[in-house]
This record gives sequence, C-alpha cells and structure tokens, in this order.
Amino acid sequence: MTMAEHLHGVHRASGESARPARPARSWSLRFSAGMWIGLSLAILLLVFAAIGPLLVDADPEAQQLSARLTEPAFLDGGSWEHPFGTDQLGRDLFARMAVGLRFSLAIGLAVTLIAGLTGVLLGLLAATSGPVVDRLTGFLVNVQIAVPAVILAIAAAAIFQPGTGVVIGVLAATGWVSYQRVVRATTKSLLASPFVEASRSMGGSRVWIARKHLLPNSLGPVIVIATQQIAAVMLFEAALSYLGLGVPSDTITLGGMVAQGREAMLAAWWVPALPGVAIAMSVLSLNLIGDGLRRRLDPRSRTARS
Amino acid sequence: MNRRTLLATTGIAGIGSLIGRGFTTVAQTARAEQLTIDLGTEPALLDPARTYDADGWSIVHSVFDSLLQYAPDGAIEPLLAESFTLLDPLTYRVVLRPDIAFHNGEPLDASAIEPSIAHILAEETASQVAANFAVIESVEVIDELTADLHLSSTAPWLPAQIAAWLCLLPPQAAQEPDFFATPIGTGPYRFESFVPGDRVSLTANDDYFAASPKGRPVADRLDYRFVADATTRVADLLSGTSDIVRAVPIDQIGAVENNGDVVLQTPISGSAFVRVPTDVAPFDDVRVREAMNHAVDVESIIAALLDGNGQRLANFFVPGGLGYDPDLAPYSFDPERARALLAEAGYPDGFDTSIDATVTERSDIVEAVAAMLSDVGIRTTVNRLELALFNSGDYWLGTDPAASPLRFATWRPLFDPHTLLSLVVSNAGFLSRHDNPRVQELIDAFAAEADPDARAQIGLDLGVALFEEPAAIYLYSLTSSTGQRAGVPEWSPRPDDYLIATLRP
Amino acid sequence: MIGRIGLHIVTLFAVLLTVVTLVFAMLHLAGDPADALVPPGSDPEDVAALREQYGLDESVGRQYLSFISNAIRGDFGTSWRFDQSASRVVLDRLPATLELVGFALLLSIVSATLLGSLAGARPGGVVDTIAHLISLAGQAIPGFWLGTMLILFFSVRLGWAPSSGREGFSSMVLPVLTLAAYPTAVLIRMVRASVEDAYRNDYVRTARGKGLSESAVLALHVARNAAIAPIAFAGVLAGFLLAGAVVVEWVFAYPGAGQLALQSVSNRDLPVVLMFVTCSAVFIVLANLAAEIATLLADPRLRDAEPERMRSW
Repeated sequence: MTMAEHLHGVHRASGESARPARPARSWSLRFSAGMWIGLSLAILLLVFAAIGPLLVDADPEAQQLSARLTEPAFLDGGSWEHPFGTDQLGRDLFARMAVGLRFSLAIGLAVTLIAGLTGVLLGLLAATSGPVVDRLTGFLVNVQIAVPAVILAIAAAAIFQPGTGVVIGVLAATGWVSYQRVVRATTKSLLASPFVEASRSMGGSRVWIARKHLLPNSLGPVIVIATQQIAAVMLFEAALSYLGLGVPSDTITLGGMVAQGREAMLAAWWVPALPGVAIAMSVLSLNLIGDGLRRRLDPRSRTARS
Repeated sequence: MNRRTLLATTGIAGIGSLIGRGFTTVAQTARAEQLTIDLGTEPALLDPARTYDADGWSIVHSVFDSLLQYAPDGAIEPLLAESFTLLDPLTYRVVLRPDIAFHNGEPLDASAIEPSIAHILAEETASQVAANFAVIESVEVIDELTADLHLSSTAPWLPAQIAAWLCLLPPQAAQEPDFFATPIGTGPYRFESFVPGDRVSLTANDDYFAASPKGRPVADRLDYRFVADATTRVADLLSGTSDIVRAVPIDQIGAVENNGDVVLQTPISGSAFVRVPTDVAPFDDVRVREAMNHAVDVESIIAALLDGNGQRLANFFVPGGLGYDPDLAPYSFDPERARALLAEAGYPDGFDTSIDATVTERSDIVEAVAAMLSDVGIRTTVNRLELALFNSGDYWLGTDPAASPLRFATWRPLFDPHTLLSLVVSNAGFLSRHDNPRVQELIDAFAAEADPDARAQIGLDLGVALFEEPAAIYLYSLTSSTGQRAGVPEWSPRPDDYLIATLRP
Repeated sequence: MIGRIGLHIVTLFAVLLTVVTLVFAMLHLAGDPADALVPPGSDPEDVAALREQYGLDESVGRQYLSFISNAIRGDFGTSWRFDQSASRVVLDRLPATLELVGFALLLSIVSATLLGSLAGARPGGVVDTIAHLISLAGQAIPGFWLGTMLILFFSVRLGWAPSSGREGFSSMVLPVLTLAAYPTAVLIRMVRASVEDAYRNDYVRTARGKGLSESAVLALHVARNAAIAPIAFAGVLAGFLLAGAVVVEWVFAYPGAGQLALQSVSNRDLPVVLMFVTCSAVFIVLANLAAEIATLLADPRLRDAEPERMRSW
C-alpha cells in the first residue's frame, strides 16, 4: 500500500467505499478513540504551555542552588512550591517545562511552515510545469534523501555558528519532501479528472485552477503530514540537543532539558524523565491526531505514514 | 580485668588488625590480570609532543617516560633522569639513570635526548609547544649517561615543560615514518594496539625500573576505552564493563557508592576562572572587575555543584603550585558591594554581556555563574562553543564578531603557571587581552629569574597583583572525580590528573 | 527494467555530484574555506600554504572544478587532528557503522514483517493491539533516551550485555535494538495495512472458498504482500538508520563513523566531516538503488508502475 494509492483514495473520498470482505475491524475503528485521546492530550499540553508558568510562582530561569534536585510534589519530600521538583540548579521544572514546550512547539511550527510551503510549492510546480520541471524536482527529492537531517546538522555545525536558526534551517531543508510528493500526486490525478479538464476547456487559467481545485484538495493530506512533522521535529530537536548540535542553552526546549537532565538521572530521575514524558506525550498526541485526520479524510485508507 | 591484661588484649588485637591489614594490602596490591579504564576523549595520535589534555597524557605517559615528573606534592622530581641540575643560569645538566632500555631493547643513553627535543621542534611535528623548547640552543653529550642542555636565555619554567612534553624516544625506532602508530617508550606499559574510536591496549612492562617514582604497573593488561557520554561511563562502571572511569558527574556519585564501588576525589593542579578582557569598557574599569568577583558565590557553587570539592581561589594560582598564598583571602561573596562598585564605576543599572564556554565544560556551573552575575545587574547570557572554536585565537582575542568578552575556562596543570601567564595574562600572549604594567614587570621577572627562592617570591607578588587588579573572576581549584570498582588493585592518583595505572613505591 | 536501473545509476551520480556541490556552496557561504580547513589558531602562513595547495586563491569556478575532481577521487584533504588523509580516517571506521546499520535493518524488517502480518491477520486481536502499542511507543521515545534506559536495565540491572563498546556480538544487541526501534514502529503499520488489504483481496477469499487452510493462504499470498513494503522501503530505511547511528554510537561509545563525525565537529576537523557526509550520501544512494532492484525482482507487477509508487512515504 503506498502513498500514491492512498492519495487517490483521498481524491475519491466521499461516498463510495471499498468492498469490505470482512468486517473492517481495523485500527481505524479504534482510531476514532485514538483521535479523542490525541485531542485531549493536545489540549492538556497546550493549556499547560499557555498558563503553566502562571500556576507556580517561579521564574523558569531563577536558580536556587540550595534547593537543587528537590522532589516533585507527588513524591516523598516534594512540595507544591515546585510541583515537578527542581533541576541541578534548583530551577523550577514545572515552569521550565511549560516554557520549554512553548519553544519546542514553536520550533516545530516554524520548521513545518517553511518545509510545508516549500514542499507544496515544489509539488504544484512539479505537477503543472511539464516533465522537465517534474524531473528536476524529483531529482531534488533524491538529493535530499541522500543527506538525512542529523547528517546535515553535523555538516552545518562544522561550518556555521551554532544557533536556533541553523537548527530550524536544517530541519526545514530536510522536511519538505513528503509535502512535495503528496501535492504532486494529488495534483496530477486531479488534472486528469473530468471537472478540471472542464474548467480548463472553459478557459480557466493555471493559477485559477490551482486555487480553485488543486490547493483545496491537497490541503487534507498536507495537514496530516504537518501534524506528524511537528512531532518528528520535537524528536529531532531532542536528538540534536543530546549530540550538542541543538539550540543554544539559553533557549529552553524539552529536548535540551532531557539532554541536560540526563547527568542527574541516577540521583533524580524526574529531572530528565518529566520533560521526556512531555515529549513522548506531545509526539503521541500529534501522531494520533494525524492518524485520526487521515481516517476522517479517507475512510478507505488504512495506510500509515511515517 | 586488670590493666595488664587489658594491655595484652589490646596488643593482640593490635597485632591481629595489623596482620589483617597486611593481608588486605597483599590482596590489593596484587596485580590485576586485566584492567579497563574509561576515558572521556580519544587522542588522535599517541605523540607526546602533540598531546595537550589529561586523557591523552594518561596513555602517552603510560608508554613513555619524561626526564622529569610531578611528585604528589607538586614538586618536580627526576624520572628518567637521575639528576637534573642547573649548572649555571644557562645550562641544565642531565644525568640519566643507568640500565634502562626501551620496550624494543634499545638501551637508553644520553644520545636519545637531542633527537627527542628535535622531534618537538621539527616543523612537520607541528607541536603547539615547540616555541617553549626553542629556548634549548644545543644538547651537548658529556658521557654515555650525561648531557648538558644549553639555553639561549634563562628558562626557570623549562622543567615543567619537560615534565609534560619531553618524553624520550628510542633514537633508532623513532626514525620510522609510522613510529607513533606503534609507539615505543621506556614507560611502565608497552603499547599493544589502537582500535580507532574504541580503545588503546597496553601490557605491563615487566622490565620497568623498580626505582621509578612513577610506580610499578598494577595490571598485566590495560585497556583505555573512549566513552564520551558521562552517563554511559557510569553505566560501564556499574555493569562491570569497565573498572575505572573518568569524571563521574556529581549527581551519580551516590549511585556508584550504592553499588559498592568507590569515587576517588583527587585535588589536581588546576583552576577554574572566567577570563575578563581588560581592554574594553566596561571591563577596563577595575571596579567592574572587583564587582564581578564579589558577585559570584563560589562557596555555594563548590558546596552544591562540586560536592564540596575544590577551594575558593584568590587568583589563578592553586595549592601545591607556585604563586599560591594560603594567607591571601579570596574576594568575599558580597552582592551589595558588587552593586555599589558597579554604581561607582558608572553602571548603576548594570550592563549586558555574554560568556563563552566549551560544550565539554559543565553547563550547570557556567549557568550558575551567569545567573549570579545577572543578579547584581551584569545580565549575562551563556554561549556554548565547540572545543576547537573556543580555543581558537580569534575567540580568545575577540577578533571574531561572535566571540563573547567573558570566557569560562579551566586550566591545568598549574604547578608552574608560566604557560597560563605568558599566554593569557602577558601583554605579549597570543590569547591575551590583558596589559597591566605592574603585572607585566612581574611576569617578565617570573619568566627569567633563575633562583628558585627569588622566583617563588615573585610568584607570590604576582598573586597579590592579580588579586588587587583582577584579570578574571577567580573561581575554584579543580578536583578529579574518578570512579572505580571495589577490588581494583591499589593505584596512585596523580596531581597532574594523568590516569596511569601504577602504584608509587 | 534494465533501462530503469540504468537511469537510476545515472541519477545516482548526479545526486552525488549535487551533494558535493552543496557542500562546496556551504563552505563558501560560511566565509573563507581556507580558514575552515585548517586547525583553529593556525598561523597565517599555514593558511596561505593551504590556500595555494588547494587553489583557493583562484576563481570560484576553478576552485569548484578542482574541489569536484578531488572529491571524485575521495580526496577531501588531510585531517589535521589525525595527521592522515580524511578519507582513510572515515573509511577505517565505516565498517563498524555499516555493521550496526545492517543488523538494525535486518531486525526492523524481520520483526515488523512478523508483527505486522500477525496484526493484520486478526485486526482487533491481542497481537494487533500489542503491535499498535509498540508502534505508537516506538515512534514517541527519543532514541538516546531509549538507549540509556536499555543500558540501565539490561546492562546495569541484569548484567546481560556490555553497556558500551564493540567487543563481540553481545555488545551489538543493545545498540541494534535502540537503532531499530523507530523504523520498526513505522514499518509495522505499513506491513499491517498491506496484509489486511491482502486478506480482503478477492483472490484470498477465493482461495479460502476452495478450502485452502488459513495457514496456506497466509503463506502463499499474504506473506508475499507483507514483504513488499519492507523491501521497497529498505533504501529509505537504510538512510534513516545511518543518521540514527550517529546518536546510537554516541550513547554506546560505539567506534563507528558517526561518533568520529561528531568528534570532528567538536575539533573542527572539517575534511573528516565532509568525507563523512559524502560517504553517507553514497551509502544511502546505493541502498536506494538496491532496494529498487529488489522490489522490481520481488514483484513483477511493480515493473510497470510509476517510479514514485515505491518512494512515497
């Protein structure tokens, strides 16, 4: 089962369904439950990121060396003064995680926005501008595949000054391919469909057709990919922080917190584990939402995308 | 029970415990068949002239011996030399120990000295310390075991350089082009193999001279592994994958001890400081630098982040090294005074600045220092840099636009602070942004004074001068925290932080 | 089919050329490449010597040509840290990395095919639920965190495997598990989907109607369907695993090329970094080509399919 088939499914979306030989007790049934779990997790995390710092009277940057590695409130020795305890410098983990979640999401959104726009544009170009442009963009896809994100990050770290911009740039430069493929495939199949041909014969311009038919039809799968890309970026950001190739330490991110907290793991497991759980929850929630959305858009498809 | 029997009982108990101790000593000093040591970084080459860090030195000084080395109290003692004396201000006389052979059987004699120095000086070696050895004008062989080093100018700091870098190479074998791929020295261990990225394997040199102050090897076979991740190093210790590991993070000491293993805290000759450039505003105002020294609560950092190890310092100099004065009280932690000094200097609202640190330094300590500076109004952000970038001249000198004015640095060894002073504090130093006439005069005298006592006094005067007009935020003396499994044979930790598996006599 | 493969080989070279070109462009974007190619703090004389040696004082066009011709010969200059050619330093350590990637590839394909087929055979069953949970969890846990947990549990707690290094097969187990986790999680879902699809296929229903036993159906038809996705995606997976190996090698102090690349970043040993980037590009492109050929051989139906059918994920 491939993405291309899945996309044809998207196009035919409403109405007809595949002849189910057996009752379709697939994951998709439970995915509606998964979607709800994903959405509630997402709301929980967003509320936490939005108002978390207001709930505790703590500056995420304020250090208190005498109160380092205090336990979270739910463990013996903890107190509600620091609901999630403190890190190696006595900084409040609750406040830091809320702020870290904000930055992690912001980085995810920035990457997704840049990669998404690039990918959509290249996909439309590939599908509408003739075989030469199509081959050229296809070639770019192959080039990108040959240089995965972590390896590009290594090259960038060796050549450029470190910074948040470099991280976003690296992840965006390696994240546009899925969009390009989806948009290209959808667009190609749409262009071959009767109603677009009708518009075209009635004199609709390329731009007009693109705006009227192509973009709206590609939007669904693009949103699905975007959702899951934010999740992937959070994981990548964590890995880059661990390798010392991540964002500078004065920008709090969940990945950076896990990487820094690892040294205290054997004495105070919560210091790396709580931000780690926040990452896992965010990724899980985004993936569940992405799956749910795909089901909504295409009842026939059970395809999974990475 | 009368007094007599009590004494007798005590006597017997005393003998018993003595015997017991005797047995444990025997058990502990028995040589291990195999010992595995985790280092943090991997040396690229096993060339003593191109080794600049304690992990690399650990391996290099296991295989090679220098003429001199550091005793546990920080004094320089002869190693391959039987004696090393200053004949006149421009001549050192070296007398080698007799009957020492290289691992390949070549006997050691005075003819090995000149080529070993030539190797450091050779352009193709590209040693960063070549300039220090250029002061040796010629080597005159007097007899089989005796040679004179003729200097172009007085160089009282030369012995310290020799201890770290002048290892004696076998004159014949060292001519081979790939000599350092399979190095041959006189040291306590012989080189076996080097698996890049993984380990260097050594075997005990059974012919090692018994009188060596470096001590005798404590393992038949020794593997130095390279494990960059500190948590993985501790896991290696806990799981028994390795026997001794470098740099146990303080928050994992508890886990090591709960496992029945040991963490050795060894004071080493090195200091941590924040270099402050004195050639730009606002740092050119001595009150600002004083304020910075008053702003940082070093005692709290030592207590909370260093597990109580290390000592608050009044200047760059450390116990056991030249220039250290136990009677010179460090700056007090006094944020009020710091704010007052800043206001006096014309910065009542403080200012913004940044601090560079390498990714290999502990981020928590750097961030703690930055937060304490910020508390008195010197709003400081931390920049983490790759090691090589941090150490580049452009960053030390601030000629790179991305460089921060402040730099968190740890410097070792400091038995003889000549290198630190000449590079970082002297107006001629190629990493220096400091130029103070009084300090400069003392540095020049410190580099030239041949009389040891007079030089020690100059060192103390320098310490006071650098305290009164600080060139840095002085922090603490360094401690090496080494994890080791219970049952590892006894070995001697060293103040120079070389991790060599030998036991001093 | 031969024509298609020929086209792929041509593309392969073009891709590599482009990667090297991009590396060249990055070097020039960052400033004077001569500064980047020498050890930090080098004398201006050394920089000048290198500039002459690599023709960096010539026009950008000529520089580009000589850079390309050096790169084709695998000559990215001398590693200043190791004092030998950068390509030799990297090639010495590449086999260890490829071994790690190879085992992880095998493990993820086999385990995903097994779990995915069983899950797809009985949607909603116990195995299906477990596979689903594994798939979700495997995608949500950062690799370095998983690796650390595996070390603490299997090495420290149970003492079953060494916690780091590369000595014997037992030291491979934990790194391979860590590396394979994420790709397995992704693959399981794809296999499951295609197996479930195969079950719904008319052909299977017919076969069942004829009285073939369930296991025979599975063996004959479904297993073949299950294998297509993993084989088709093996190339993409290999690239993913190579990048993941950088993280895994760092956690497990595994003496591979990824660890070397990170050290070289830290030491600003740029020739080694460039060689590593190019080597991994070669590896990934070759892996994709191999996967492409394997897919064509495994499933004749795909011979006439659109090329992007196999690449889209």
